[in-house]
Amino acid sequence: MSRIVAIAVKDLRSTLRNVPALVMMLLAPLALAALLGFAFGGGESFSISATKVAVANLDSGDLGGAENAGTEVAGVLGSPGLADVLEVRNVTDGAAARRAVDDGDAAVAVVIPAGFSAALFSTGATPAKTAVEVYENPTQEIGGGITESVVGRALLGFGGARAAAAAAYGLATANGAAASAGELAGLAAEKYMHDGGAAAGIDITQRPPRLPGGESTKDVGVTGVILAGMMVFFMFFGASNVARTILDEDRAGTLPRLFTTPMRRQTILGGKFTSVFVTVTLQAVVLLVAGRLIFGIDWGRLDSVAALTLAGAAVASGLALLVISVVRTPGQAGAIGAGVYLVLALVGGNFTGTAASSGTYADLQKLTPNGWLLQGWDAGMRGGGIGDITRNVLVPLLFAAVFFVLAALRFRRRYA
Amino acid sequence: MKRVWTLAAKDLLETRRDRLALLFTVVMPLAFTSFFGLMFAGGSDRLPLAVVRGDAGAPARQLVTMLQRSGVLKVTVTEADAAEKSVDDGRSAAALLIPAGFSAEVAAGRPVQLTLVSTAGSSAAQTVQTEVSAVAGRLVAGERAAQTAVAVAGSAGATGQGGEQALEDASLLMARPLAAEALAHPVATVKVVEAGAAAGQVPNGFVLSSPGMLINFIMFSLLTAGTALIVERRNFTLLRLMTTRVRRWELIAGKAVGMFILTFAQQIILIGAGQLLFAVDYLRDPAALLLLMVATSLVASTLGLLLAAVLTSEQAMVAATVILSMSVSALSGAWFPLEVAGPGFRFVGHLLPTAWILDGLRGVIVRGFGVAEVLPALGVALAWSAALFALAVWRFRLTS
Repeated sequence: MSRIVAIAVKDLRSTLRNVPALVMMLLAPLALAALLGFAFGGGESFSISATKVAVANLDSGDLGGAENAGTEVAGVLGSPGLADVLEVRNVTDGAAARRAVDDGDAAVAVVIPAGFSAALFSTGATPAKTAVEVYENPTQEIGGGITESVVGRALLGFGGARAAAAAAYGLATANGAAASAGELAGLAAEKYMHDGGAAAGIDITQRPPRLPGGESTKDVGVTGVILAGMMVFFMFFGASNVARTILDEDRAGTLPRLFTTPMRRQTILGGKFTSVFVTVTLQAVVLLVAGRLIFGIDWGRLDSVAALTLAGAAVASGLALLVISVVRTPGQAGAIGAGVYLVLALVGGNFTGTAASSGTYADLQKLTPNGWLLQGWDAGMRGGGIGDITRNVLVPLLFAAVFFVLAALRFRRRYA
Repeated sequence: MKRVWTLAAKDLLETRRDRLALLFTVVMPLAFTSFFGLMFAGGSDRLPLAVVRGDAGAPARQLVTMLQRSGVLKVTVTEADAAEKSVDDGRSAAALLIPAGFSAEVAAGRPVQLTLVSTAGSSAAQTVQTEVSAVAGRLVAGERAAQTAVAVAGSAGATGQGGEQALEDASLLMARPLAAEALAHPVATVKVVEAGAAAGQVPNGFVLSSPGMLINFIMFSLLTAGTALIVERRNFTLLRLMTTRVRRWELIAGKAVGMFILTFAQQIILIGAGQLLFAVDYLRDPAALLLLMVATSLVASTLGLLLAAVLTSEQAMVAATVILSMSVSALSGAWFPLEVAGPGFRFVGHLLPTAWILDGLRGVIVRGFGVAEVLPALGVALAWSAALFALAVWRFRLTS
């Protein structure tokens, strides 16, 4: 046992002197987490910046000049309540609004056509139709979607008023008060708009899912999600850097010379395996502490943090050793390893986080050990304990066991 | 010049024989493009929504029916625990909880509460919330319209028997379908027009993923090109070349030209695949596309040369390439549209030439950008390439 520890300590010391390895293991995940956290507002939740909207109101009001529905729609877009999501600029005409989008000065143009009010207040069996044009930059879908949604809600207000008028007209006519049906219809539309329509009556609140045990959870901060993904991803590289010393020593002749000593090969390789596991566990601990101190990330309960850290270290070590057991040169190890880790990170959701998981993608993530780990970290950060993340620990450990066994068989054949 | 081309050809020949180089320059970018494009195709799959109906009244049933008719959502009515679990597992984009008393609130004209269970930051959940809000809005609008009509005209001319409540109930029964019919045929609608969209062009997820992955993996291909140079330096190959008639500037130029041609060829393959396999219309303006490809290869080759000049080991090259490619890709909008990032991040991102190039590529594809619109991207790329090349030449050493 002491020889295994001695080999492990030697490799650990060597890693601590390897600057590129330390950059990959520690600096890179923290820097990328900081960068991506900065991208999304650096706060506890994802936030997007306001969409620039150019609004052209060509409506001159209804036939009587009293109502200007176009002004109301423009007012909704420019309301203080939406200032965080829409940055509105009023322009003189439709061409100017569209040009603003074409020139990149705005993401969306809203053109309220002439005759908008007249169409809205028209009566008769076949009223005139009108459409508010939302001219959007197709590479900025989110802003376009938000603007469409806001305009749609504003138009629903008018639609509701017309529906109230139509229903009132129908009721009056059916009840034999046809003479006053028109007047009642107008009163109904006015009352509907005055009462705030549908918009005043819907409140949708969002909350995260409860843990499997049924307990309430807290929201997970965006930086925590990102750093968890980066940490698991760079643990693969951290393990790979240490595992690669097996190849380096093999080529340098150190490993064959070790095999000539009374130490059993299993002891020597066991020391190597141990050094990989210990190093990557230390890497995770440093990143967790740094995440807490620098970004204020609450990783969750200690039992789940410990379990996920050890499971992640086992997976990273096992996978790194398997890759090393297959390749022949350190160059191959670097390139093939990087490719394998990138594919796993892509499928497992290290770059997209659990937030993007649903449907087919969520199923695909379950094919990777890191996918399970990331779901476990998400549950842990939401307050889950060891009981809530049992599968998220056991499944990766199973992957790790398979990786270790395959690596051991390959090494036994190579160094027999 | 002949020696420059000879050195470049030698490097390209070595790369062609290296199967790992093929993996990183062609196979992986195609795989990533396919993956991201299919996963985030947007609109091709309806989003799974679990609905928990805690209210048995007519408005609650109608809400569920309206959601089921939505072209955006795939609704499953289930129990509360199963709904929470389905969101936790990622099988549902979100879960909608319709509370007990919902129908009474709608009928009474009071504000209604709905709860959406979802993972914070999920774009699918945002889409679900928008659709639920729109559908619930139509439901409430119809009910409010009917109630308003009854309040104003419900008793006008009515001579039916029964009390006031019975009259009101009967009027509501009559008013609801009238209101629903009017809402189903609105006078005012939203007309969405996409700027620069070609006739018949169908937006798909590959339009976002293909140019982004192109930039990401052009950066990554620096790994193979740069590693080869580091190995040659370590093996004293470069020093031995100096004993021939090759001059230092020819050696550096040969390396740079080799990297340029490698990344240009990589772009041809990836753009060809995007055009033919993923229906991404890169060739909408071939001249503009060519300028952007030149800009990309200039930046990539000079950056690769600088990295190889500065770094002394393959391990350092792997680390630098992974970190740089990820950082530059994130900052440039290769992974996610920069419109979701804050203004500070967008500003910093647009200090990089790759952000300009990506804007140009997407502009060519979806908005029909021409040469004039992509000239700024070329200018920024040229400025960066000149600076990177100058640094690389200054730092270039023949030995480690």
